Amino acid sequence: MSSTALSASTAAHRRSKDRRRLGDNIAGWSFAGPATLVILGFSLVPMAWALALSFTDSDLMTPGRNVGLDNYRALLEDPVFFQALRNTGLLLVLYIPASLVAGLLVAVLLNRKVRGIGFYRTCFLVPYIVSATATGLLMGFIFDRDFGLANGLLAKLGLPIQGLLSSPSQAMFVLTLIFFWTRFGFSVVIYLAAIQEISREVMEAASIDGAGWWTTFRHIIVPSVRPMTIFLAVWGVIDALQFFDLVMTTTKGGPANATVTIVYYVWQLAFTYSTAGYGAAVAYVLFAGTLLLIVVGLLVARRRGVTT
Amino acid sequence: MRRALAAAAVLTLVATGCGGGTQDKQAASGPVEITIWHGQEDASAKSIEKLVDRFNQSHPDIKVNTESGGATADGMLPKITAALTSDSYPDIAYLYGSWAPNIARNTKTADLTEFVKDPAVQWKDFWASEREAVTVEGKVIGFPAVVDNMVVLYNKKVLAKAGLQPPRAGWTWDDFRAMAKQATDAQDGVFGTTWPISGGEEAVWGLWPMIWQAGGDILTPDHRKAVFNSTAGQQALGRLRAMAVDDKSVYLDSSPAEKGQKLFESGRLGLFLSGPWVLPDLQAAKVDYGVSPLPGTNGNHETISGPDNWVVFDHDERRVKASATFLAWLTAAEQQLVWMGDTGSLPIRESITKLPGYQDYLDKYRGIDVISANLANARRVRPATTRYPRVSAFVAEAVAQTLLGRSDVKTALDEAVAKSDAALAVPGS
Repeated sequence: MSSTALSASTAAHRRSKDRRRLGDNIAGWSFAGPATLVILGFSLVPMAWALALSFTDSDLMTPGRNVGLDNYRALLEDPVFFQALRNTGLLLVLYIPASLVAGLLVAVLLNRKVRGIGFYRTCFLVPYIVSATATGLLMGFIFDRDFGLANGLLAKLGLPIQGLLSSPSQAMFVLTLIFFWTRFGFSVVIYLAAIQEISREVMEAASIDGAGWWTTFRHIIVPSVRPMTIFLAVWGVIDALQFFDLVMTTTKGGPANATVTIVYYVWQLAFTYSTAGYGAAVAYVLFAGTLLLIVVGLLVARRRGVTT
Repeated sequence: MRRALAAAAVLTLVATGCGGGTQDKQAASGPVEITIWHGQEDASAKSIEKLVDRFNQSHPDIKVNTESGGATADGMLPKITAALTSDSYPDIAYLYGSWAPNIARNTKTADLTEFVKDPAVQWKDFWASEREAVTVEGKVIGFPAVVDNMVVLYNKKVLAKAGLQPPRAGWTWDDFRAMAKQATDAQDGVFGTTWPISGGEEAVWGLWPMIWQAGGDILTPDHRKAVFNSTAGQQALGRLRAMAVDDKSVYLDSSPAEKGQKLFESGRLGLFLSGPWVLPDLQAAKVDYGVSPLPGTNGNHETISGPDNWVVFDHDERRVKASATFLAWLTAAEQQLVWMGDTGSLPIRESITKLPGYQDYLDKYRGIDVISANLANARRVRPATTRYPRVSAFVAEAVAQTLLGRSDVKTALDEAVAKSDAALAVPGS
């Protein structure tokens, strides 16, 4: 008798606990629900749809037939895809180290109390804020082979004129430079914030111990901002792999496919060549590659004992 | 306050944007409501809206709503593709003729074949190349909207400075090359002419009339094989290569931003292959220009044209009929003359040239008479296949490689043909 009463009271207790948890859940989901729906609707559903699309020959006008893995097989024999891979790879290899090194150095330079420092800091962020269309048009004029400022300067200095954006062998390097110019202000801002977080005691202790500029930089600043370095590297990889807008506004992938990037190629495949299924397959290969790069990068970083 | 107004305006835009295509549930009585995405800007947008107002006043049984479609004419294909996929498409949209084969594959594209047989439409009054561009495998999917063709614009001051006379009637491509060479002044930064080498269609379409004139073609009539590497093709690209590499008289434009036009306006180009759409800009920039038909091959001055269409999409029978009625009215000679006066577009019907107001239009746009007469030289359009954009990209690559002196003409064209054949051989579409 007493044991049943006990169990009944436990059950009642559990029920009220369950009810409370249910109430908490409803409150929680009513806050998180709209955002979850947005993420589901605008990210996950399209991703699933694109995956399904990559197994068809759809042109977005007609439903398309199921072609299994044919799109992925065709990729292996597509020279333009490999060219896009090479172009994007070049951008990645040049841009990531350059943006990290230059970003940190400029951030250190900007971390001092001089008159008008706000102005200098703003200067480095402006290119990041300006729209890609404006940057593209401007740079198109600067790096023009025949009428551009860049070649005008070279000519003044008595140096040979370069092909720049008109040259298949130079165009991607020029685009990388433009990309670097527009994005590295972001690294500067992040690094600057991180440097200002370094406690003054540590810096003072270092200077009392007789550490010079280089020692302070090498043994205090660089290790202190390492989490930011990892964040910026991951962010930069994603940014560089998705490079599209400046290609659209400066070269349209030319001359002779020299500046076709993966995302630009996806866009061409889906919207100008009406092969959306194939385009989705390329997009998925890009997705898998990005994921792999980032996972490997983070694992390496974690093994070295750094967490973001 | 201003911010609140802006927010309200944005909301209204969103609301109308979403509502544009979703008026399927209309009352059976009352006027039929249809929506048109015109894709026009500035003066052209004002003109089309003015005409729609007139139509709405004179036709109480139909109400036409105009929207820009949130896109310019260039961006309409991706926009309409998304709208068709999500079932929020308009009744009428302004679409380039080269997109017609893609659009026609969608089941929601209307079939106006029977409607245009009505004698009141005067279908045969439209130019042949326009009718061809709006008909896909025998099915008429809309009405011709705008027609243009390629001509040579020349800067009178630049030619005079080089001691050159304007192009004479019956000039040849050899004349073109010689004039470009003589007009070039490297010291002054003046080039004879320009050629785009960015990856788009603009790098390619000027090549086709040269090939057509010499008896060549782009694809076989069944669209199965590419044939532009014929002798005619090699001659055409070879001539351009000689101008760019040997004479250095060609400014190679790697930007998609129509830099060529700006250079022509600022007196840095002698000759410029372009069309009627640049005339309003040239007049605004006060350029002393002249217009000539394309140079010829053995007396053949064939040119290329890019007709644009009003394509109709099917919601229900009443709305398709209302759309067709509206387009028949809009494209009638009288309304077209208003549109042409506002925008400088060319006549899309032969009968327009016989209207009394036509002379005023010719006086307003200097050189338009030459371009208008040149319509008779526009005998062919680019192949109506969904694979054409891909073929065009391969040719653009060949053009860039050749004009930059990185490949010889035959190798570049043969490679482009091999790639095109592979693309054309894929089954489907």
